[in-house]
This record gives sequence, structure tokens and C-alpha cells, in this order.
Amino acid sequence: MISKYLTMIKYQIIVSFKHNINYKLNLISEGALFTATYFGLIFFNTNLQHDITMFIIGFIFWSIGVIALGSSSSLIESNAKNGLLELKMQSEFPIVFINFIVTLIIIMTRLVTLLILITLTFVMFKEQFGNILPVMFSFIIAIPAIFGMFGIGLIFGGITIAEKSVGSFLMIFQGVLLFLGNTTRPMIYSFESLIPYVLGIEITRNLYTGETVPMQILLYIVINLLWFGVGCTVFQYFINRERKYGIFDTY
Amino acid sequence: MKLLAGIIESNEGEIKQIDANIKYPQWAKSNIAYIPAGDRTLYYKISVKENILYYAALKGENINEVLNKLTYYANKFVMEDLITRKVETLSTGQKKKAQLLCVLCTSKKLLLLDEPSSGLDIDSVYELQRLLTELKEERKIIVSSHDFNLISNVTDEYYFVEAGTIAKHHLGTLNQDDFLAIYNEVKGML
Repeated sequence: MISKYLTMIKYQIIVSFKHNINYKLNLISEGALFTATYFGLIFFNTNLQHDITMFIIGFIFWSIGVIALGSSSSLIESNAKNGLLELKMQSEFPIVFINFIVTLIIIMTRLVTLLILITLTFVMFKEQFGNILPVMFSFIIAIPAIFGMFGIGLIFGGITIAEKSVGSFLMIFQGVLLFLGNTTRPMIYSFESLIPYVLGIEITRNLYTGETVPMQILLYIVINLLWFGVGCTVFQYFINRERKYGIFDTY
Repeated sequence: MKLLAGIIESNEGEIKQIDANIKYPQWAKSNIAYIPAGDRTLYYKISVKENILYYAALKGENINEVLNKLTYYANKFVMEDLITRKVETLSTGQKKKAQLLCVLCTSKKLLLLDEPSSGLDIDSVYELQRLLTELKEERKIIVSSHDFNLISNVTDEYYFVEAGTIAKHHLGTLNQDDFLAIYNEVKGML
């Protein structure tokens, strides 16, 4: 059984990579938008320039989070439109698992751009290269947030199956998250910690400044597992509803 | 066809398999390969071969066996030169053949083919007919089709469906004349 999973993952990586690389304009425009957001935040928010490492930590979490959110949701919408959802519905593997693999592949692809941007920033702002360690830690500490944000994406995906499209709502939500959480500033309100990556940012920044991180890690993991669980449940509800009352091909 | 493929569930009644230890949709995933009508379910930006291997991987198939079958069926369909081409460069008929190769290269016991001859040229329809005759010896195949050229002389059992209900059932192979006679009878009945 494990070899079946490994084979599926192998071919999903091949297909996703080749498929994405062939949509060159899409890849370029997404990369350009990502770069513009990154440098826009640095240059138009003078507060961030005081501690660029703090900002980079926040941006890593936000970007990984919104990719997980966006790909989880938009994948379902695009798959439903081109019939690939029906293909995946025939699979021996759970559709959530397949889409999670695709999401990880998209995150990996985007990390290349992110690493280039981080290197450029370190050179431009003459940051100490010793600070690279907490930045690299961000990628590891962000792993639970991938699950949480993916879970929220599944909620949007479920709504997409029912409503056929969520329009620009997802993009608005991603933008709101950028300013609602602690990406570009310290955490102010405790409710912010409900956003999957917020406590991850706090933990990494505390590690960077040498502060302790007692109960935050546990809470961080619990919040993300909850979002993942809620996402899977909601998505499964909409899939079951569509299986009973829909036909999966009118988009 | 989607009900049989386990993709959707019925509002009334139920489908059961002989081995009733598991629920039907789960059984269907392990034992059925289905191609829908049209040329959906293919990734356009990758090659036919990559689509076939991806479908096989999703269905939990042994990839080496799939590659052996691919060599055999690509030869049957005269697709050897096409399997390395991207799907977006293929004609409608070639895309249909690519879809057919996806299901044929699996080891599933039951194949569900929804309008498999749509977009195929005359030679390919005859080739598909020959292939179905050969395949039915080793697997069960359910074909949904409006193409009587394809299904006459090949099929062992016919269900004439009108407005969602079975209007006529015929056991045994029909030639084109007999097929059309029953078809007209069904139309006259409604």
C-alpha cells in the first residue's frame, strides 16, 4: 500500500511540475505579483526597515499560508471546471490527500522565488548573515500552518463545489490576512492567534529575539489541527452533498 | 455512468456488488475505470503517456504493467508516435483515443465508456469495435453510445434508455438492421 502512495506522489509531482511550468505566463505573473507585494511592503512601510529580519519572518509565514489557502481552494475550482475533479473522484486515494500533495508542490516551487527575494534583501539592507538562521527556522515552524491554511482553503473549496465559484472573495481574504495578522507588525490582539500562522510568526520572532516560547507551540499546533479538521469535515460535507444532488460537471 | 463509476450517489435505490463487504463507491474505485463523454479529464499541457501514467497512479496500478499494456494498445490504435505528444496538440479523435488508452492500460475488471466513439474517424471506430470484441473476453465493458455503427455486432446485451428509464432490454448481439428496428420500436412506444 505504501508503494502505491509513493507511486501516486511521484506521478503527481511530475504532472504538477510539468503542468505548472507549461503555463509560463501564469507563472511569471504570479511571481511578479509576489515580488511586487514583497518589495512594496518593505519600501512603503518605513517601520519594517528597522528590522528587516522580523519582516522576512512574517512574510515567509504569510506567503506560505496564502499559497496553501489559495491552491487548496483554486485547485478544486479549476479541477471542477476541466473535469479533473471527476478524475480524482475515481482515485483510490482521498481527494484531500491528492490536493495536499499538489499544494506542497506549489509551495516548493514558490519557495525558490522567496529564497531569491530573501537573499536580495539581505544584500540590499546589509543584514547580518547570522540572522539567516531564524529565517530558515521559519520554513520549518511554518509546517503546521500549512495544514491550518490548507484546511481553510478546503472550506472555500467546499463552497466552490456548491456555488461553482467564489470569485474574487479568496483574493480579498488573502489580502485582508496580510494586514489582519502580525505579518507586518507585532501581534496586538489575542484573537489574531486564530489565524493559522500568527503564532508561528510569534514563536519564530521570539526565538530570534532570544525570548522563551512556553505554551505557544502547543496552542499553535492545536489551532492548526483544528482548522485542518474543520476544513476536511466541511469539504467532505460539500462533496457528499454534490455526490447526492449534483453531477460534478456543470461549471 | 457516473453512478456506476461511484462518482455520484443515487437518490433512490442502490447499487450492490457481489462482494458486499465494502461499500459500492469504494469497490468502484478499486475495480472500475471510467471515461466520461467529451475530452475532459486530460491534462492538456503534458503528454499522452504522462496522462496515462498519472491516471494509472491515481488508480493504484502497477506502473510496469501499465507500460507493457501501453506498448500493446498504442500499437493497436496506431498511437505510437502520438503518446509522447502534448494533449493540446491532438485532434478531438486523438484525444478520445488518449482517454481510451488511460482506461485500457489499467487492470480494472469493469470498464465504463461514455460515448467512446465521439470524434473518432471511421477507421478508428472499426478499430475500437475490434478492440471491444477482443477485450470483452477478458473484462466486462459497459458502453453508453448513440453510435449504432459501434455497438451493433459487438455488444452482447443492450439497454435502450429513454427519458432516464429502460425502455427495452435485449440479450444477444444485434446487427445494424435489428438494432434500428428495436430503436424505432422504442421510439414508437413513447
